[in-house]
Amino acid sequence: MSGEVFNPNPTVFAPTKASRVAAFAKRNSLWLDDADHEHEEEDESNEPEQIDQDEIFELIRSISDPEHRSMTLEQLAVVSAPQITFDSQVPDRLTVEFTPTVPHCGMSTFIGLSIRVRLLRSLPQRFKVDVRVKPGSHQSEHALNKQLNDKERVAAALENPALVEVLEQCLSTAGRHDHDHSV
Amino acid sequence: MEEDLPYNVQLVTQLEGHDDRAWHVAWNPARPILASCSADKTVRLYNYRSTTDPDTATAPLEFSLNTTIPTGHAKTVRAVAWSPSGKTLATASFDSNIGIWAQDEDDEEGGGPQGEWECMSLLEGHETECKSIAYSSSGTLLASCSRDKTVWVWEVHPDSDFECMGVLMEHTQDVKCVAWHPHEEVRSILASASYDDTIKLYVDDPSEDWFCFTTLTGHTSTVWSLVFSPDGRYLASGSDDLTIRIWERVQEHRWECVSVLEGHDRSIYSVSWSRGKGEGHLGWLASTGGDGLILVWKISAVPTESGRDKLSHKIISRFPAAHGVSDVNSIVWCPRQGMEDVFATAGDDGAVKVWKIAQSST
Amino acid sequence: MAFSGALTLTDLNDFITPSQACIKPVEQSNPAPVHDPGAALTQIQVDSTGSYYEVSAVGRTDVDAKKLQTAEISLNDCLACSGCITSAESVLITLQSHTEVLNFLESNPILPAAAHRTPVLSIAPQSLASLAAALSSSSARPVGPAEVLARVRAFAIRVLGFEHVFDTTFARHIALLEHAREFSERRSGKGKEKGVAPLPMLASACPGWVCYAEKTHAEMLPFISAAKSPQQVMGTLVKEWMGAKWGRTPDQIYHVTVMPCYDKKLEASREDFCNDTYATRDVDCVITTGELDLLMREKGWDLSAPIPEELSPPSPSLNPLAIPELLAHPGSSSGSYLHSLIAALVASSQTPLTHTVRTLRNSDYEEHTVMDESGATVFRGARCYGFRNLQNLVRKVGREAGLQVGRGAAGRVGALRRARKAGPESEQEKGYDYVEVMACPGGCVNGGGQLRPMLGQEGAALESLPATEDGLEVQAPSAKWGDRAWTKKVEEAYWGAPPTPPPTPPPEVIGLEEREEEKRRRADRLAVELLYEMCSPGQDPPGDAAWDVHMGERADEMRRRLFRTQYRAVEGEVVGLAVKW
Repeated sequence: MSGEVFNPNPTVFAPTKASRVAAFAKRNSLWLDDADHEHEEEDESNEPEQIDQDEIFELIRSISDPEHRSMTLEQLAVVSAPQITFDSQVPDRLTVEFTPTVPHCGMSTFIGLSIRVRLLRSLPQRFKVDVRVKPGSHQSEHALNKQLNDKERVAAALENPALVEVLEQCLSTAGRHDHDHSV
Repeated sequence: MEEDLPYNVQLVTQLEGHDDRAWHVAWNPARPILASCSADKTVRLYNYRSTTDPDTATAPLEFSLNTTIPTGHAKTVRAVAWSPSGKTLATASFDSNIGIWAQDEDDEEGGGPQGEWECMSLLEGHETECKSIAYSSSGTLLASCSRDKTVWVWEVHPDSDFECMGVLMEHTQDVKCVAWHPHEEVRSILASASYDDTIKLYVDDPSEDWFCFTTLTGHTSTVWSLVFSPDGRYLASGSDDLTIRIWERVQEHRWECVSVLEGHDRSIYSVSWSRGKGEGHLGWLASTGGDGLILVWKISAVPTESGRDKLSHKIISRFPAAHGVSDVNSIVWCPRQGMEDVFATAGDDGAVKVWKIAQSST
Repeated sequence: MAFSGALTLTDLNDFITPSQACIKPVEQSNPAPVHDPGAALTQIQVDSTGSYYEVSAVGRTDVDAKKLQTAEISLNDCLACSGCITSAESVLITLQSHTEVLNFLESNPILPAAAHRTPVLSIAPQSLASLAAALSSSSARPVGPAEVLARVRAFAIRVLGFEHVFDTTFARHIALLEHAREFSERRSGKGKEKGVAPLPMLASACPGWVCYAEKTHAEMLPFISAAKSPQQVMGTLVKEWMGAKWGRTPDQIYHVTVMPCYDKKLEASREDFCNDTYATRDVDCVITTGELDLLMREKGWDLSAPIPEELSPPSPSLNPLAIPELLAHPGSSSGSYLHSLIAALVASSQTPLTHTVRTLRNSDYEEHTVMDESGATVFRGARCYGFRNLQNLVRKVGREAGLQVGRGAAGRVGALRRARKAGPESEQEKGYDYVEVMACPGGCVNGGGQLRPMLGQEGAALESLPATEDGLEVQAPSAKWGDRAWTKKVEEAYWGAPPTPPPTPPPEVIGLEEREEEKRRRADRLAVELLYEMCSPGQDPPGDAAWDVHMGERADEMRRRLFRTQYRAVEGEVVGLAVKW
C-alpha cells in the first residue's frame, strides 16, 4: 500500500446519535442501496422527494477513511451534517464540505472523490452536488476544489481500475447503518 | 415561455441509444450524417434528410440510425471530429488514443464511400486522457489535447498515415479543447483551452516548428470550450467561471477580450458559433453547460466613432432543462447550407437532441 | 525552489518534460508515534517556512512540537515509477547537485586517512563546447574545447582538490566500438538464440529517450542498443580500470561527471550502474554544464582567463595513463553513433559504397543510405532528434516491425486494418538498420543542462522581449531562431573554432587528418589493452587484436558485464491511492 501516512494519529470523534436519520434510511432504502438503485427512482413519485441535510449525511458518514480503513469519515470528523448546505434558490443543488484531518493531507482528493461518487450513485439525478474542502483546512484548497468539481476529471478517474478498486473498498462500508463503533 | 425573445428553440428529434453519458456531437460537413460519442465507448452515426421542401418553415428533418461503431477504445470516447471532406472521422478517447475512421472504399461503386466504418489508424502519444480533437479547415492537419498538458499537431498523409508535427507543452494543466481558425491564410492558427484558465494560440513558424504566440488570460476558472467566429475575426470561449468571453483579433498576432457574456449559473461546457440566418450580424453563438440551459446569442458589430467596431451581443433565445435534469455537454450548429438554424446537443442523460430555432410568432 | 544552473527543464520546448506531479508514494522514516491510549491526540501544524510540526491537539503545551521529516524520493524511485515521463527536476537537483559535490569535497578526509576518496572529474565534450561557445561570444578571440578543458582542469585540481580530470571522449570511443560490435552481432543474426533483438538498432546514449521508452514504449526496448553510454563507460573505466592502477577500490573513488543533460543524473542512478560489492556507483554525482559554471562563479574562477598550460599539450604527469584526449568522432555532435557505423561499414567493404543523406522536414531528422555499385541499399539509417521526431520514429519502427506500438487497447483494430492493407508494396522500402535517437532537438549540444545564451548576445533568445505594438509577426519566429542560432554556435564550438569540420561530412571526407588518425589509432590500441587487462588479466592481446576480438567465453562474459547494460519496462499501474487523476 501507499507508504506515506499523512496523519498517523488522527483525532477520533464519537458518532452522532442519528435515530431519526436511521429511521429515514430504512424507510427510504430504495435509493440508499446501490444494488437496488436503478433508474426507476423518479417513477413512483411524481413530486420529487425532499431530501435534507441529515439524509445526505447518512449517505456519506460511513465511508471509510482511506488511510484508517477501520474508521469512518464521520468518526474522523471529516464530514458532518452541518457541513451540508442547500442552495436557497435551487433546492436540488447542494454543497458538501469536508475537513481533511491535516492540512497537507494527500488523501484529500481521494476522500472528496469518494464523497462525490457515493452521492453520484445514491442521489436521484436531479441533484447537482459541489464537493469542497472546508475553507482554510487544506494547503491546496483551490486545486482540490477545482479537481473535485471537474466532472470530466471525475469521469476519467472512475475509469481507472486501480483507483476504483480502492474507492469501492472505502465505499463498501457506506451503506452500513450501525454507528456504534467504540472509540 | 418566459421573456419575449425573438426566437424560440424547438426540438426536432431526440436520439436515444447511448448507454452512458453522451459527451460530444459532430456534424459531417459534407454529407448528411450526425455523429455522437459517449462514455459507452461507441460512436453513433445518424443519417438525416428533410421530408418536405426545405423552403417552407416547417420542413421537418428525419433522423435515422446509420450505424454504431463500437470503436474498440478502452475508455470513454470524449470527442469526435470530421475531416472537412466528410470522409474521415477522428475519435478522442480517455484511453489516451486517437482513432481515425473511414469507410472501406474497396467496394465503392460510384455512389460515394460505402460499407463499414473501420479504424484506419491509431494515433498514440498522449500519456493520459485525450480530451478534444480538431481538423484544420483544409483537412491537412489534426490537433489533439490531453490531461498530460500537451497539444499535438499531426499532419495528415495519404493512406491514413499521420506524422507528428509538434508537441506543444505550453499549458500548466489539463488541456480541455482545441480549435482551428476557420481560414488558413498563410499559416493556420490553432487555439487551445485549459484547466489552467488560459487560452493559447499557436502558429507554425517557417521552419516548421509550432509555437505559442500568445496567451489569453481573463477567465478565472477552467476554459472548457472554444470556437472561432465564422469570419475568423473573433474567438469565443466558454468557462467554468460561468462566462463566455469573446476575443477579437486586433492585429495579426494580437487578440483582446472585447466582450464578457453572462447568463449561465453552472459551468459552461460548450459554445458554438454559426453564420446564422439573416443579414447584418456576425452570427449566432449557442452555449450550454452544467445548468442544462441552452442560450442563443446574436453577435453584431456596431461601428463606433473611433472607427473600430464595438461588439454587441443579445440573447435571442433560451431553453432551460434541455436534457431534463442532466448537464448538457456539447452544443454544435449544423454547418450545412440551409441548415444554419439547426443544432445538436449531447447530454449526461445519454441522449442526443437536434434542435431548430425559429422566429417567435408574436 | 531555486534551481542551480540557469534554467529548469520546463523552460525548453520539445524536450521530454515531466508532465505530471510526482506520484510516488514515499516512505516515512519517522518511527510511528507511540499511541498513548486516551491521551491527547496530535495535530500537525505548518510553520511559516513550510515545515511540518506535530503538536498535541488541545491545550498541552508541555509537549514539544516535533519537527516532521519531509519525505524524500530517490532517483531510483523515479526510475521505477511510471508517473512522469522522465525526471522530477526537484529530485535531481537536490540529490545530485553542485553543492553535493562541494559537501563531499569538504568532508573528504585528507590523505593518508583511510576514508579518503580519490575525487575524479570527467567532462563531456558537449559541455566543453557549451562553455567554449559562451566564452567565445563574449571575447574577441574564439576559445576552443581544448582551452576550456585545460582551464576547467586547472580549476578542478587547484581550487576544488580533484586529483584527476578527464574528458569523456575516450570513453565514448570505447562506447562506439562496443556499439559497432553489437550492431554487427545483430546484423549477422548472431546470438539470436541469446535473445538478441533484430534491427533496427536504436541508440542508447540518451537517457531521456531510454527512460521514455521504458515508461511508455516497452515494445521499443529490444531494439535499443545494450552498449553502455559514454558516461557509464567512463564510470567503469574510472572505478574499475583506473582504480586498479591507482590501487583504489571503487568505493575509494568519488567520480563526478559534467554532462549537458539533466537526465544523465537519472542514468547514473540506475541500479545497473551500482556496484553492490562496494556499495558505490560508477558515477557518484552528475552535474550539468550550468552547474559547473555556477560552481566556478561561486568559487570566483574566471574561465575566460587563459592559463599558461593550455597552449602546450597536457603534461604527462597529469595524464600518466596516456588517455587520448578530445578524440574527434566526425559525424554528429551527439556522439556520431550513426556515422561511426557507416564509417566502419564503408571501411570494411570490398567494393566502393556511396553514402547519401536526405533531410526530412528539418535538420533533426536525416535519413542516411549506403548503396553499393549496383545501387542496392546495403544500409539504411537515420539521425532523429527531438521529442516530436521521436514520436514519428516510434510509429515507423513499430509499423515496420509489425508491432503494437504503445499501450492502447484500441490498437487491435488498427493493427488488423494495417495487416490487411500491407500488400507487396510495403516491401518496397528497406526498413532502418540503425537510428541515432536523441530526445533533445539539436541533440546533446542543446541539452537541458547546457548554458543558455545571455540576452543581448548575438544569437541570444529573444523570447523574453516584450511584444511590440505591431504584433508578433517578426518577434515570434526569431524567438525560435534565436535558440537555434545559439545551438549552432555551440555546435561550431564543439567541432573546434573556427567552424571547420561540417557536422555531416560528405563520405569522401571520412578520412581524417593525420594527427587525428594517429590519436585514434592510439585510442584503439589502448582500448584493446584495457579490454584484456579487465576481462582477461594476465593475457596479452595479440598484436593485431581489435576491439571485437574473441577472448574466450569467460572473458566475453566479463566484457558484457563491463560494457553493456539492460533495460526494463516500467509497470504502468500504480497503487490505487496514489493515482493522480
